[in-house]
Amino acid sequence: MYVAALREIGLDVIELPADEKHPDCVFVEDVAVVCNGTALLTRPGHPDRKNEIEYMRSILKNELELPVIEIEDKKATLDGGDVLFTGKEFFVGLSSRTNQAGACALASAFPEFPCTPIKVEKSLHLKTVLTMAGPDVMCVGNTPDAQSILKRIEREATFRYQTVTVPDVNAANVVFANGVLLHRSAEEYPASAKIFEEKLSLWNLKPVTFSELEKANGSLTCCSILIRKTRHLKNIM
Amino acid sequence: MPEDVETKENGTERRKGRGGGRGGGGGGGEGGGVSSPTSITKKGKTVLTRVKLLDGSDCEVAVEKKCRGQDIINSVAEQINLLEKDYFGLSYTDYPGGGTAWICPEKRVAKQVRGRPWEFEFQVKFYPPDPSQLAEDITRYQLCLQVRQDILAGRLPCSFVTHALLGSYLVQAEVGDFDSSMHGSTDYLAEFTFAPQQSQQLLEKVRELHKTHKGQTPAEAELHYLENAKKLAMYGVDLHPAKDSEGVDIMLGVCASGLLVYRDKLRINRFAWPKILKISYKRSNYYIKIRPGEFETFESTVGFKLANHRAAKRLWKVCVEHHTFFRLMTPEPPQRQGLWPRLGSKFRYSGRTQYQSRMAANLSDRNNPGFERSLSRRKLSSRSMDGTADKKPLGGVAVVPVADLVEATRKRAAQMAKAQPSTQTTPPSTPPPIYHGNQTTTTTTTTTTDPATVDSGDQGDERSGRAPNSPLTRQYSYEAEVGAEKREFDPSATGFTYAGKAEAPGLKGDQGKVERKRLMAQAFNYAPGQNFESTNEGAGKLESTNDSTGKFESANDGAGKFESANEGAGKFESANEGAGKFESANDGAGKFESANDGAGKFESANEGAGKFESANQGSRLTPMNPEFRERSPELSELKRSPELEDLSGKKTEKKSKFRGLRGRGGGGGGGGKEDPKEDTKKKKKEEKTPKSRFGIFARRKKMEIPQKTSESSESSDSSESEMDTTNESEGGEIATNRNAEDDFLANEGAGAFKPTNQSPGNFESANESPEKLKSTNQSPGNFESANESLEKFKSTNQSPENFESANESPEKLEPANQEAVFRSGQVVRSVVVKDGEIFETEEKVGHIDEDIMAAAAVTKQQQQQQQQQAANEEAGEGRGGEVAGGGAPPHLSSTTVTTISAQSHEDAATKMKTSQVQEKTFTAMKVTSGTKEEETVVTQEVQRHTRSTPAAAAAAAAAAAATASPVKHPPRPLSSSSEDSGTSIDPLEDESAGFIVPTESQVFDNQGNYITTTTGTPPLVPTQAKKVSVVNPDSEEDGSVMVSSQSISSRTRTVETTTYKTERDGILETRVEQKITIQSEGGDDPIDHDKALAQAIQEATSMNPDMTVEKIEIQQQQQH
Repeated sequence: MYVAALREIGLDVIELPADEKHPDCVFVEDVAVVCNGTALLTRPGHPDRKNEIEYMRSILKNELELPVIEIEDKKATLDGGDVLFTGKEFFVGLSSRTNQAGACALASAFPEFPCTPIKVEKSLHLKTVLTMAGPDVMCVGNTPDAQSILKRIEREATFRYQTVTVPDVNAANVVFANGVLLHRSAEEYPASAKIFEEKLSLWNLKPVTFSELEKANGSLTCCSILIRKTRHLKNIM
Repeated sequence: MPEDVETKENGTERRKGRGGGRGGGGGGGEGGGVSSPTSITKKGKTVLTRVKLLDGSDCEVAVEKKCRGQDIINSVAEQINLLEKDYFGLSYTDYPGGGTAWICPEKRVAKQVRGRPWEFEFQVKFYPPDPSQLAEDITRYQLCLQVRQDILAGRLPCSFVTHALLGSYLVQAEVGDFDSSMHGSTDYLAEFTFAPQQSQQLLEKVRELHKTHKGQTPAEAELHYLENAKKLAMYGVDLHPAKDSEGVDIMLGVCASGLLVYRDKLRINRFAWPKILKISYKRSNYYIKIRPGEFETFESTVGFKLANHRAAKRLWKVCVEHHTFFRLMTPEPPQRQGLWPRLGSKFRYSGRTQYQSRMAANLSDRNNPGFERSLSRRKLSSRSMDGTADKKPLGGVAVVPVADLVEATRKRAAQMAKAQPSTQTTPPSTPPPIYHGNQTTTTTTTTTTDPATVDSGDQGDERSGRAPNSPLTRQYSYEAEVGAEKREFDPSATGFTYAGKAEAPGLKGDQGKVERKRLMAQAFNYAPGQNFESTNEGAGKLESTNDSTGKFESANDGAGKFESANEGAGKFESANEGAGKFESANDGAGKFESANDGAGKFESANEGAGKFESANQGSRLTPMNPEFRERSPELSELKRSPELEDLSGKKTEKKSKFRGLRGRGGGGGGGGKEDPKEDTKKKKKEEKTPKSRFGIFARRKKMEIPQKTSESSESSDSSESEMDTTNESEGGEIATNRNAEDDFLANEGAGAFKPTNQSPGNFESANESPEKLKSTNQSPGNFESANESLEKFKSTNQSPENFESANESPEKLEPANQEAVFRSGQVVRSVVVKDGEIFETEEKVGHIDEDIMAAAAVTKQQQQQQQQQAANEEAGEGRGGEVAGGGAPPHLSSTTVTTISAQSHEDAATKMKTSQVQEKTFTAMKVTSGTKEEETVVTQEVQRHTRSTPAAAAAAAAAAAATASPVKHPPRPLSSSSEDSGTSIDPLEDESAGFIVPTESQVFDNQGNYITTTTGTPPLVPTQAKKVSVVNPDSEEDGSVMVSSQSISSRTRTVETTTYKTERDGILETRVEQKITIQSEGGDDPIDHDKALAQAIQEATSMNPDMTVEKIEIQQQQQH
């Protein structure tokens, strides 16, 4: 259903086969960061997931033909779920899955963009509580943790962002692509869905029911890597 | 708030540093000479300084040993023809504290180098956050070079993709469009360096991307390059190693937006300038005090430890400079021109801020200069693959590290020389030149463009040699019919040389024939080369100057300048320079100035006129606006030039209803000087009748007539007849005018007159015949001939105002007034010109007048709808007396000269019409030297469906003579309004007042027109000298003093900024008034006024964060 939703909004979706050895393999987001025509293979913070990158590497290189960067630093850990790209700058959550060295690796891979580390204390990933709901719009949960993260981001940000606060922290994880906002459906989080409809109605909204994976701490962004595919990059994103 | 930031340095440290500096300075100067034998040669007190430019070449400048940093920067900028030099600085590497440091512009260099060789690097010091806002391509090019250097040095890290992207733009700028036949493999990229480490893969990617940039000009490619580069995280970040309070290594980055803290590669903190309350340093510690956050109550101070106290001080200074440059409108403490040496004990940035730099650039009358990109130069010699040089765009960013410095420098020098001329010639890249005129005028008056002009002058010769390259050129057709004799003076030979006038006259005499040249140029861009050519032709003959001007104008403004320059050069060197200037600044202006400088004033005057005319033509052919602009500059320049007393009034009329008048004085002055020579010589007359879209062609007729009046008249007649045939009755008039003038001139200085005549002729041709007449008048004005000319003018226009005509003219004027605006008082030699717009109303004066009238009638018919104009008036006492004798009206008697210049611009595309009127009054320098001068600038914009129109031009120092002004006023509403405007006057500077003068505009499809002006300033009066004592009743109220006023115009908006200072109870209060005028002409190009208004308000209120908004007034006007 998730894939269908992505396809409905006009995305080309490459589905990766399930890998029984890696239960978390559905959360592809963690394994690679793709931005500005460059892919960074991460070093997932969870030891069981390190091998997931192998498959991702081949996909990125062979199917997508992207320049792939790998993290040399053995001590670095970086989960894609901690990497928030606003379109103009990176915020990388320093969480249980991502460390300072990992953040540095990210900064090195994408030197074009300011990369600011943000401490994430309680949440699994930065993006579990805060995501981009549109250009320059951040969607954040209303938990104290999420709010303090937001505050830190706002303090360090080079650019100004609008924020949309939703009452359900799990609903703060949204996917904005192709002018469409994928968010959790009203059946799951009615209050949040209502806010989306009120505040973000200028975009097409696409409610997605996602309960199944939520049980595994999954979220909308986790399961995909958005790659802008342009034949020729004309500008830095 | 940025304003709150305090910059504080520790007193003790500071003193120490200073003491050291002094001590070192003492011996430093000496040591410098000794220590670097190669780079330093002592010539008396001058030191040869070697400056490494961004393209890798070395530039050697000889400066005085006592010079300050800014002096070197200025001379380097001059050499590379860089106008926006405020972004740049000189760095040197072996700073005692380690690393690189900047030469302080305000301090003596000797004290900073302290015995080290005088070798610096010219680099970008302040990276503009938005490169597209830079005024000139050449500045962007320099920035490109800097960015490239930063990338290759690793200071600006990029990923593979970005390297490829930026590289591809470089290649596009350098090589031009991708051509599969030549660029089949990456071999052609072999000599480019895109990245610190570059792979074959990168080259392939670059090649691939290069294909996608097809069609981009070098300038566009560079803009794209910068548009991407500016997004890079480290763009413009000046890094300083430091440790945080916990001893962790960090980097402190200073940039336009604030202070950044990096740890490893992560940006762990960002302090925007508004968040910083205070920066300070003490010993090796550097502190910033942070404004409390939203929910915090206490200010916090963050400390960093630098390697040593020098590093801390350097960081502090960089912060002070960046903050001031990017966040403040003016350096603090407020100093008007920023460049004065500071006496205070605390360092402050005192150069121009970005805001000021932009203002200055906007006000500059300089056209986007052409320049050579260093790589392309290289290609010519080294690259064999590109057989066809044509395909390559001129520019390219030098991607390859520079090699062969010696040769490069040599070439560079040559190129620079060429480049400068081109710069001047090149028209502004922006298509609508319309507003430039205003800008130019203002700039000329207010800003000092002097350096530029000087340069141009210097390099005039080189220019001439230069081949025409016009990046922006459009079609330029030039026809010249010249008598066989013309050959004698072959343009090529004489054109660029600075032959004395004497020669020229002689030639003229020989020629004795009438030459006609018809030039039509539609191109507004300036291809220098073309210009040159035209000039050449013009130069070839004395007339040629005229012709050339004519050509120039017709061809392009820039060209016109060149030609004029040539002409000027031919006659005088100064003339050349002036011309150069004109071109650069404006065509007209350049010429004028040159005229001023050079003996050539006459010629120059002529040229100026020629330019004007050409401008007219050009405008007609194409947008009228550009021409206008150009003209205005000329006027201003003229004023400046000491020699030229006369003011040229140019009027630009838009097709629409308005007419702008500008006064030129140059002609008169020139006449005085050259008269003897020229008298003996034959007279030249040029008539140009541009045909506007309306079907008016610009023609030039040049007639060389012996001094004999009879002959001249005959010649003129013939010319007229011809003109008539062409339907250019105006031209005919002009011719007549000229004849008259010639005669007169012959009396005084035929040469001078002639030129003026010619120029007028041009004007007339443009439809502004009155203007031309005026010009002629002006010169004649000095003499009887002037009178005649006036008559002519009158007949054609209200111009009569001018001399004799003055008498008559008044009469005419009145009618004119009825119709539209007008006036003219005239005056002394200088000139007064006026224009009446309506031809019909006028009566004929003298036979000439009759002819003119007829012509006028014809023109009227053609133009049916004419617009009103502004008139320029200058009254010079010196000649005023004479004029008066000639039957000059009371005006003449007045010693003051007022010049009113009105410009009207039409944008063909938008159909916007703006007319600006500037009135400048000078007190006669000679007679009433002590007199007060008032400058009033009146802008009139007449637009139908326009909201507000006034654009104020600032301008020249003018003294308004009481008498003069009154005189004028009656006829003109404008003048009065100008006074009303209450613009403050700066004693030393020009003032500008903007008004909205509703002029009656008549609708018209055809043309607008005119320009009048004149000049007649006696040589004695240094125009520049005019110091204006300002007397504005209004301004003096409250004891407030106007400090500065600026006006920036663009197509749809005019921004006038006036700063007043008031001192009350010991408190200095600065008040800034910003007037934003949004104008549109209803029909074609509707503007969302609400949006524009909102934007204007936003802009006004955010003008300076440190100031509070007192009130906002909104006014909507609809005219017609």
